[in-house]
Amino acid sequence: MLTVEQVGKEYPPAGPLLRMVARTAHSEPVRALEGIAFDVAPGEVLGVVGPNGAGKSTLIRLCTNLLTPTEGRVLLRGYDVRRAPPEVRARVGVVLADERALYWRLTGRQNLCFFGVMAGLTRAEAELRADELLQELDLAGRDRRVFGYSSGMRVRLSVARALMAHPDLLILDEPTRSLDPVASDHLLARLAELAARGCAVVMATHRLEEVAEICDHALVLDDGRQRAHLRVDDLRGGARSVPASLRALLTAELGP
Amino acid sequence: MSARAPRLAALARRDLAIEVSYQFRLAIFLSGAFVSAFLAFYVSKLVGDPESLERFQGSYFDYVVIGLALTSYAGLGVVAFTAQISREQAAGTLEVLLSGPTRLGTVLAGGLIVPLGLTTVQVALLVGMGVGVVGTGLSTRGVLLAVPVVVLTVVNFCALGIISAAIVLLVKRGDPISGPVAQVVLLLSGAIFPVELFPAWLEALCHVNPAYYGVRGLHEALLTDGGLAGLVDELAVLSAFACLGLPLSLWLFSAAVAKAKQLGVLGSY
Repeated sequence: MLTVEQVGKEYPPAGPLLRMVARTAHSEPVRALEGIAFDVAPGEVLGVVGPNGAGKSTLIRLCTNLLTPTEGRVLLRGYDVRRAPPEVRARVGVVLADERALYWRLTGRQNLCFFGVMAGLTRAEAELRADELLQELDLAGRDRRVFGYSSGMRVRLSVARALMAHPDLLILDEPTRSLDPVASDHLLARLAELAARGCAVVMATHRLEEVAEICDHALVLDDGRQRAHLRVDDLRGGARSVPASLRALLTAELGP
Repeated sequence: MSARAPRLAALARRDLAIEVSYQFRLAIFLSGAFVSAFLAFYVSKLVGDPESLERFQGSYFDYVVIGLALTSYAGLGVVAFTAQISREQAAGTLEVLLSGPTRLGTVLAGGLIVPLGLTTVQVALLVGMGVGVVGTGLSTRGVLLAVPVVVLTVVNFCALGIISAAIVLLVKRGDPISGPVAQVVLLLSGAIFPVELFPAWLEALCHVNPAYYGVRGLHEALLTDGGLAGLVDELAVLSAFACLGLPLSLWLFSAAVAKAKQLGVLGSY
């Protein structure tokens, strides 16, 4: 479903003109990721774990074609993600680590209907699906403008948006942030259920208990490098390919 | 119905819902027509009917109201895309839209529908109330002839606006096109006064400005009896500018998106 082939990302230094007008542009190259390689099969849940700054969000952006890799490539059902046809891209649900990524002046339902049509549903299909997901994610009956939502509700709405077009690949960047324990458990259960029905899931998180709960595999990133790509069961067993320091941390979090 | 049409409709519904949610802003925007007409009316009382406008059957009031109408459309073309890109970046929705199957061209085109509709309502109020009621009157034939002139002018300014949006995508704020360049382009259009009043070198500069042909075409259509034959030159020049400008602007915008993906600044603002 998703294949990442030796992907690396180095942010190039901006040209002098761009540096002059945009003060945030880099003046030196910044190496964010190096030599990342993994596959995600249908029905598999991959947890991308690592400390802050490890490169998790960069990897998520590369997989969703929001960043161009410096080397390697990302394949979506065999297509390079940069040239994947619309019908393939339509079946990818994305939740970015940014709760702003909704129209706050629209209601939750209006947001879902809009993004549903943009993902290729008809208006009638989008309305039906929106009502279904609002119910399922406990947002029904509170269909007010998004600026009146709590942080947790916005995250749940982002997840609902990603599920609108019945994706067969879900890519989520820290989806349980801002969620209370009950909502978090509910979301993880929903993701496990989707995986059981054949949906591939890639989830960046730094909550290792989530990896233990629903992931089949874990991709361990540290300082932009792939430290390990393991079955979660192996991780519990203390596989030798995980550096000792990281293994101690992971096994303590995951349990014996 | 093509796959693009439902998406364009969804983009228009989104923008309309957002516009309606800012009722005060909407009222201010539409009332701008009354303020412009009021201002033009009293300036025209001061100016009278100058000789330089003899060719046009209307008064200075009609002349300037039509110029302001075209300026509204030109301004829309220049700022609409930049405003849209800035809004989507600030809302964090640009990345979500671009990670999906909808083409960027559709997102840009869809984002123009509601602003274009609102500007048309504003212009209809301005021209209808100004030239139609207070001024010398509008003929149906003139209004029909004005349509292709307005369409081509909007297309030309959209090209400029898309280039402006490409710059904003990378530098975020302070693009030169929607500010100083647009002001110079409109100053050299003849919207407020005939360009014949300029010194010869400045007047010559006006002849490479598409807005000049838009304003001249609209004046010809609404204020003279020249008919379609009198508009051929303006329509030909506007078409030529559009054929060059639109593909160039779209190419520049695609290049800016690719650069933003390379630099990792697509969603930042």
